[in-house]
Amino acid sequence: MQVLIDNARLLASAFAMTARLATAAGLFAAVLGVLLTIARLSPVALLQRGGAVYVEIVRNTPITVVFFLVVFVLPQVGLVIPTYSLAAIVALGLYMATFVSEAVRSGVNAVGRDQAEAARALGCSFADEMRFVILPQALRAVIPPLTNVWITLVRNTSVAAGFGVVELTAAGRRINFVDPEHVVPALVWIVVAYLVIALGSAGAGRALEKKLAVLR
Amino acid sequence: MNSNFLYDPLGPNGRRHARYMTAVGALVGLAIVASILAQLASRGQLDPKRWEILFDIKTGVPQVLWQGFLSTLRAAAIAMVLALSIGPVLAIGRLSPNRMVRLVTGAVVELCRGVPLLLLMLFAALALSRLGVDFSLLWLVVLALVTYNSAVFCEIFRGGIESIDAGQTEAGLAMGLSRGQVLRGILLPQAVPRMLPILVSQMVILLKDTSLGFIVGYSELLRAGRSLIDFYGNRHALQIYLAVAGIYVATNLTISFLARGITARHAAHPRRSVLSASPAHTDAYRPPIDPSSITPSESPWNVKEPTK
Repeated sequence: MQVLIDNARLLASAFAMTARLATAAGLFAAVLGVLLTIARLSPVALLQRGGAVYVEIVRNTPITVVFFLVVFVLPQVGLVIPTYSLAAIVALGLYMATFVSEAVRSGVNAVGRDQAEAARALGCSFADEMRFVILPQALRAVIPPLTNVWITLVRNTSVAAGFGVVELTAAGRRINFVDPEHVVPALVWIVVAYLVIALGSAGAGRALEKKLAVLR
Repeated sequence: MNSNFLYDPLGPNGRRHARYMTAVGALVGLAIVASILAQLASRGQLDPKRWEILFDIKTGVPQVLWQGFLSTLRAAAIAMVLALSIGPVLAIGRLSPNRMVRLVTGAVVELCRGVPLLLLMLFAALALSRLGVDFSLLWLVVLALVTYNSAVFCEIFRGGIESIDAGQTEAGLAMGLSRGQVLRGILLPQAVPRMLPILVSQMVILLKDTSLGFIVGYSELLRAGRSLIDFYGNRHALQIYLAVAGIYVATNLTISFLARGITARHAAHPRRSVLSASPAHTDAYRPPIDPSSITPSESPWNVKEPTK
């Protein structure tokens, strides 16, 4: 407990940084991920191919390498990112967008061909088909995998510790430098903080799923 | 998987529209590529001399990268074997008829899955040195990877086993088989083929995660690249980083490709055709672990099925 009080300011700002990285990168990843999904489900072969290539390449690159590419290689193509935390958000967003895209795509696929064909047989336009048949079912199906993606994102924010951002994991390291005697209890508290976010999100996802569930 | 069930085959108007979009997309893509190349050229990054270093044995670059690659594979292989042996044991614990065993293994698994791998490595490094246990960096990385991935493999195995219809277990027990016999003889032979795709994608994730060892100082592929950059200066940074990324992508794509072959062979197996019919009858929102619908997510937090 003492270690928590001694380092209250550091830990609080670190927690806020982790939360900020996760939300900002999450929003970025959600937008990019949905755009990628639209490209991959579109009837334009070039967009399908392009979206698939992005997802395959980025998903198979370690997040650490993505960080390096964003921090050291992007400036070489003229994109200088002013702060470390912004670079971390960009790296996490670019990386997690591929997971968002996979989750959303599997959600749409889970609705199934029969539903889409039935909608069209009833004379729905594409917009009506999406609005009344596909999306209401796909959005429900996508909650559990998106919860997983979010938890993965929160865990991945820790990589920013290696790139000059003082979030929870970096705070643990810093406490080890100034106060190595009490680093183990400090780390336990940091673990608790991550678990609160992860288990809390999993619980929220489950509750949302239950709330939206329909009997079929 | 064919995703194009959302719309009918395009008619003449639609095709014209698609062609138009293709042209726009191609133009935008070309413009982006051209501006990137222009930027790189203006900084001299496209100079062949800067790229030669990657292939010239005299510079030592290929050797160092190769050694780093081997270290990455070593850590990943050891961690994979260990996690694949511990994971199923945990899964049996989570499925145990004993409530206490279930709760304890459940808590351990949730704990291991919710914590960032990097923090696990840091924890292992600091806590173990405090306890006076001296681990080499390789084993430190392996320890953290095994801790996390055992928990993930446990959830994959549990999900796979739970996806088998309860009637199968009941029939086995009714015939007088023991629980162990039911698991070995009935559940696993059906569950393992279903789990294969997601198991493989988790192995790719494990391989990628070895790169976190870079931050704690294990000299794997990424660190090898860094040390080369320290040695040769930032002049070659771009080339070396791209080479490292390329090696990771190529390795992971190879693993996924090989795995797809194995899975396809399983799918072609005549026994599978009976089994693969069953997921269609389960909850269509989220077939428990029908591999074709599961996204390789980095941490499969199976959110529990709502009980009906």
